[in-house]
Amino acid sequence: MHITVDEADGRPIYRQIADELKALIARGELAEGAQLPPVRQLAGDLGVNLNTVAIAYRELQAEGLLNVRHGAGATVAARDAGRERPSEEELRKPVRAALTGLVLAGLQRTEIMALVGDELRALLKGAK
Amino acid sequence: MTQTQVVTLVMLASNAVTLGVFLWLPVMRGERAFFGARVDRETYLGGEGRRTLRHYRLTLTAVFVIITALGYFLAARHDEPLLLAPSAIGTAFAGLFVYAAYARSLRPFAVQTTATRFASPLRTRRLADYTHAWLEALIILASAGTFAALLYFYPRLPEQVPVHWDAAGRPDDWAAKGFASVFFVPALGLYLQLFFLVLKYDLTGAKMTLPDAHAEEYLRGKEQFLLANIRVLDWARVWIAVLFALIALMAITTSLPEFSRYDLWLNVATGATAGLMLAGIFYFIYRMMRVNADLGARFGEDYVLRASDEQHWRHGGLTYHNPEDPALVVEKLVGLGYTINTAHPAAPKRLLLLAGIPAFVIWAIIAL
Repeated sequence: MHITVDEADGRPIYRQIADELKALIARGELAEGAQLPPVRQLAGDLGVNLNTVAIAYRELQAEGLLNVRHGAGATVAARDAGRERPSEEELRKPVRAALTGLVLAGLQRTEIMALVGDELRALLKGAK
Repeated sequence: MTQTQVVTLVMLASNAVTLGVFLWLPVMRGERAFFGARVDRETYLGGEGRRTLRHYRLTLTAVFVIITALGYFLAARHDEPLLLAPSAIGTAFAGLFVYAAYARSLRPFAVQTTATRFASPLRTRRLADYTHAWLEALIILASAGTFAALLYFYPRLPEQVPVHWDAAGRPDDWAAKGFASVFFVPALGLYLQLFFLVLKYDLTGAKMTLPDAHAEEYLRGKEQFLLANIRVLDWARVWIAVLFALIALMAITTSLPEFSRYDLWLNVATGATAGLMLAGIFYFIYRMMRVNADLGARFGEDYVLRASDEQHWRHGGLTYHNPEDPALVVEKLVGLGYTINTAHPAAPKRLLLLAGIPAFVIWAIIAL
């Protein structure tokens, strides 16, 4: 299991790290309680600042996806522990943004449906 | 063959091996690290690259021959083969110097890598995952047992204790009984154990950058490579513990008459231990070379280098100094195995620990 970052990608590196980890958690490849590598190890492998990785971990902690304890490192949090479901509007916002991009790229309705279906299937394949 | 001839031959052979390594260094990773710099195929195989390589090899060989010949004549004149030892150190330093000089001349031809996507494994590597309890127990037993045995026999040891033995296991040098002359060998062994343990701990945290393509297969290869390197260390740790224990016991058997019947046995065991240690180390180094050859054959690349790290390799890719890199241990760009990032805050402590080994030996030579 690995995560990839792209120096040429427009998104900040910490964003890329957080997104990659989120995808692994969503797919169930990073199971509940799984240990993440120490900030130092991940930062070294990826050739990025220690803070960059720390920010990504903290962000996922704030979203309730990781438990970060000093000295014990970061582990994947239980899925529904102490987390309230975001509002309907909060949930729709990223979907709307992604769909807007697809429409603007000139994709047809059926193409978009097929694409969304594919991605969702890939995501749920490993998830519980 | 006399002992002098054997020592002379070993010394000359070691110089020849050093020369071989230096002759091979510039091309060990092909055009990806030609004298430590990435060059295009045209430079590498064309006139400029071949000419530089030819000049380098000629200069290097000439320097090696001159230094070795000087050492040989010095040794022959004084009939002391150990006088060849400075020539071994001299050739290594001269080799580094010549290599770095030629690397500088090639720097204008370097091209930057264009890859921007890199991966990191999410598996945490811990020292405990690479630790075998029985192996550690053996090391502790051998080290502590030696101290205990020497302490027990200390009152019965003669006023002059043997501190050096010839190839047949007969003492050929003695020193006044004291802490240094009796406990020097196990103390040095203990220091080496500490040094290797720190090295092993650092190795488990080695930087493991993966290419975007074939990241998982590549990771398997790199983990095998790391494991082989850790095995080299473990193998050396165990046999150093045994070897130092045997040498320390020689001080007892060669000075107390009631143990003299064990002399021969102990001498044979010491020789066999040293041979076994070398054979194992060579085997695991061969394994490391095989892993890299396999990676190269499958993915065309056995080393991942990002553009931002490339400029921090110095001396033709032999040393790495990158203050931006949080990693202490990185895989060598030129050479086999790992090296340290000299810009890391922990690097001076590691170099001090390394300098402690020759310091220990020099102290013993002065004290005895």
